[in-house]
Order: sequence, then structure tokens, then C-alpha cells
Amino acid sequence: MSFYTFMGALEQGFAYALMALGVYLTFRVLDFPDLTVDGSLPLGAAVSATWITTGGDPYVSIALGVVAGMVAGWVTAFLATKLRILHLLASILTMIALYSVNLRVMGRPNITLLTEPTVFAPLEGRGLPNHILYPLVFAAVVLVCGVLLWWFLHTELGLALRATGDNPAMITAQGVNTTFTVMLGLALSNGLVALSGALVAQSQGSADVGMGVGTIVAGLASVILGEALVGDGSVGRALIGVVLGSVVYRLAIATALSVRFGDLALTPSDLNLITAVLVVVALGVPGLRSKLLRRRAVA
Amino acid sequence: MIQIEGLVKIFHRGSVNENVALSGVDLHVADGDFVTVIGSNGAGKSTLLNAVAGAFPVDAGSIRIDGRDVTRLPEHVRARHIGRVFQDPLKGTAASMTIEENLAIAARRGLRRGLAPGVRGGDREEFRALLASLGLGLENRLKDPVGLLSGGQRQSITLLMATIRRPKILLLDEHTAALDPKTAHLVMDLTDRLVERDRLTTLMVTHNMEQALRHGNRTIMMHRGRIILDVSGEERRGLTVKDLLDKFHEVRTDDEGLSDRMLLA
Repeated sequence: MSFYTFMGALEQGFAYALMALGVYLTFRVLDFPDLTVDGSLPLGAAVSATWITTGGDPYVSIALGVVAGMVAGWVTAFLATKLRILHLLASILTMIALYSVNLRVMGRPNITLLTEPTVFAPLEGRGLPNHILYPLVFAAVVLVCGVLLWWFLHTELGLALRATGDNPAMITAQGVNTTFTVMLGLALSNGLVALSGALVAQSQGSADVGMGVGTIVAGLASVILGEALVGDGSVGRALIGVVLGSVVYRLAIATALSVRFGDLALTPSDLNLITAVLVVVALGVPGLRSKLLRRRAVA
Repeated sequence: MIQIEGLVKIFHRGSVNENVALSGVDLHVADGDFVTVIGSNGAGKSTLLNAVAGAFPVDAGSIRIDGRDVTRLPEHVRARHIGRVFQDPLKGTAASMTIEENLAIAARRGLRRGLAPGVRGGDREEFRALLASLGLGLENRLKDPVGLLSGGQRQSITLLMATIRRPKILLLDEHTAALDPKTAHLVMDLTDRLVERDRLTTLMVTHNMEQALRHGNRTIMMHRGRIILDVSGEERRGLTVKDLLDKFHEVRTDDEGLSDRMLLA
């Protein structure tokens, strides 16, 4: 792997770490498997790109993208809590609906931003080459968001949110409306995911309606990798783990893509299969192992 | 403090599994009363407590707490005035969160939750003192996840959480049934201490008749969704476990249409 590819993987790792933080918030903190992210990531990108190409400010475009993502998360939470649709199904419904919404927002399947002003533009040409500048910018954003999330999860409201995922009966008995905490959690999560999408679109110079495919699987892979690497003893450890997991995941993929097995070389289109297998192994192995151990103990 | 009038709850209404859990319960509990609730399985004891807590809508009747009609209020709104301890020791605390975080959540019961720090420096001193009063050595483990604790320790913490902000009523649903006898004894001692300290109006469901008579100042027996015995004061002091068992058998044979009275007549 060249230094250039390495920095590219690092940039992606940090860029998608924002998304992975969102996935951690739903999947681990709220115990709510939320597939909305496959739609809210391109939603953030679409809103941001459309705003910029119609002459809008790139910073404002990011704020708008985040708000759009939060609304998407709220919709899923509404379906799951108020209409009592199974959480997984509720999130799939929102995700599917967002595909159409994203096409409507952009008016076409993709938008190019190569000639447009982005939030990165003012930082370019100040001595740092782009392949070093971009990872640094993303790392800074991740740091800010990570610290904010850590702070929030230790506030009165944050404790209520964490307890909602851990033990809904207990937190209801303590006077918290779990419908509200689920809505808040999903809005925050999808806001982070949309932020990730908006920044990715601006850094890679395009928004594409298909860019969200496999987001949830990549997010899960990052969360699980992080737990394996750092553990999840406390919120702080878990958050650091998620970011590290995201970076390691992108590095692993870059490595896999640079390896050839005889005539077979992996291509980016194989990524979803590889990631899915990775997540299956990570989620399935602990269960299988304890089963095997039990069988051996019996024999 | 609690006024229950004509309370009816039917589960699975209109299906083959229709089950009348409460069929017209009237119960008035005075301020500071500690009522123990006994009855066979399916008598409606837990349903009565859950109805007061607001876990489900009732089919008829009304519930007033401290004069206020709460019949239509959702569970989390009523929780402002209600402390609860469940039978399952795992149900009252969040396992992945620390002891101090669990207590801090309870300390905000009924108050607005905002963006202030969940656990404040000043809280810790109060939590430490409360935990020390348990005598379980938990006062030095504020930052341990509750999941590391035993069932008895978790149930003791749940009791602290239910009472850390004085509730208008305390609901205990067989909260010692899942514990070993020694731990159950410790938790009951703690219950008595906390109830006396704050003179809490308490409803305690139990399967243990001796416990039902030894604790509290009033005992009711439920059967088939009704209150069939309600004793307090002098009459209750004279009661023995055997009297209660006799009463149990009496209503059971009544059900089968073969009461002693009928046979002797």
C-alpha cells in the first residue's frame, strides 16, 4: 500500500467515523438496529450538494444536511414508537422512502461539486497537500463530535437516553418518556450520519444517490471492531473504539484491495460482500465458540 | 393517599384467553399506611400494582393519588409520584451504567432533565452516605457498573432509587421473592427502615404470609380479581399464618361449589 492510499484510507476512516458514531448511538446505546442510515447518509450529501450547486453557502449546506438527517431519524422513531412498527422494519421503510426523497432533492442521480466552493476550499493551497489536509480536517471534526457526544451522554438527558436502551422498564419507572428519548437518539444519530454524508460529498466532489448502500454494515463493522480493539467498558472507551474501528476497517479494506490472489483481484464492488462476511464472523463467532466449548465440556 | 374505585382490568378481552384480572376493586389507602397484599397466583395482586403504576390502561374504574385522578395519565407521568421495586432484581437498574449514574437518574425523578451534568460532585457525597447505610460496602464502588453486583445488592440499590426522592407512594411487587432467604431478610429490613424514615404510603405484594403479617399495618387478601379480606389494627394483630391459610382454603373450596357449609347443611 502506498503512502497515498494509506492517507486515503485514513481520510475515509475519519470521514465515516462520524457515521459509525451515529450507528453506535442507535445500535449500542439505544439497542435500536437502525437501517435509516443507508438513506440518511446520501440525504446529507444530496441536501448539501444541491444547496451548493444552487449558489448556497457550503457551511449552511452542511447544517441543512444535518437537519434533514435528524428529521429522517425522527421519522423512523415515530414509526417505531407511535405507530408501533417493528424497529428494524420502521427503519427499512424510511430508508426506502429516502431513496426517492434523495432523487427528488437532487433532481438527478448524482451531482458533481468539482468546480463548486466547498468547506475544504479555504484550507487548500496553504502548504499542505490535499491528501494530508483532508484526513486532518476530518480527524478534527471527529474529535469535536466525539467529545460533544461523550459530554452529552453524561448529561441528565444523556443518562436517560442510555438507560432507555439498557432498561426501558426502569427508566419509565423513573419518569422518563421513552418515546421522547428514542426520537432524540435517532435524530442525533442520523444527524451525525448526514453530517458524514455531507462532508464526504464535499471532499470527494460528488453526491450520488447510491452512495449509501452498505452504510449500516460498514458502521456495524466499525463498532464491532472498536469493541474488539478497545473494549466497551465505559462510554469514553466505546467512542474511542468506534473511531479506531472505523479507521482500522478502512485500512483493512484498502489492504484487501491491494492484494492479488493469482488471477483474482478484489474490486471495490466486492466490498459489501467482504464487509458482510466480516460482520457475520464478528457477531457469530462468540456464540459459536461458546456452543462448541459447551459441547466439548459435555463430551 | 390512594383511592381506587371499581377498578376493572380484563386481559385479552373478547378472545378465548379472556382473563378478568381485576373485577371491581375498591381500595382506600390512608397517608402513611403500609399495606401488604397477598393472594394465590392470578388473584390480581401484581395487576393491581401495575394498574396503580399505569403500566396499562384499565377497563373501568378510577385511581386517585393524593386526591388527583391519575387514571388516564401515562406511566412515566405518574412515576413522578411513585417509587417502584420489581420482583426481578435486574429490572430496577440499568446494568451497563454505574452505581452513581443509576442513583443520579433516580435523583431526577419527576424533575426536568436537561444538559446539566448527570452526576454532580455534590451528589456523590449524598450517594456515598446512602450506600454506606446499606452496609454492603458499595459506598466505595460508585463507578462500578451495576451489572457486576448481585441480585440482593441490585435490589437494595433499586430501593434507594425508589425512595431517593420521597415518592407519594411506594409499590413493591414481590421484591424479595427472587432472593435467597438471608438476602431477602436484609432487603426487608431496609424496606422497613426506608418506609419508616419517610413515613411512606406503601403497597407490598408478597407470597410469604408470615412476611405479610410481620410487616406493615394492614393486610388485604385478593382472590379472582377482588379483595376478599381487609384487616388492620387489633384484628390483624391477632391473625396467624394459619388463619390466612384457612381463609385461602375456604375461598378455594367456594370456587368448586363445595364449601364446608354446603356439605354440612
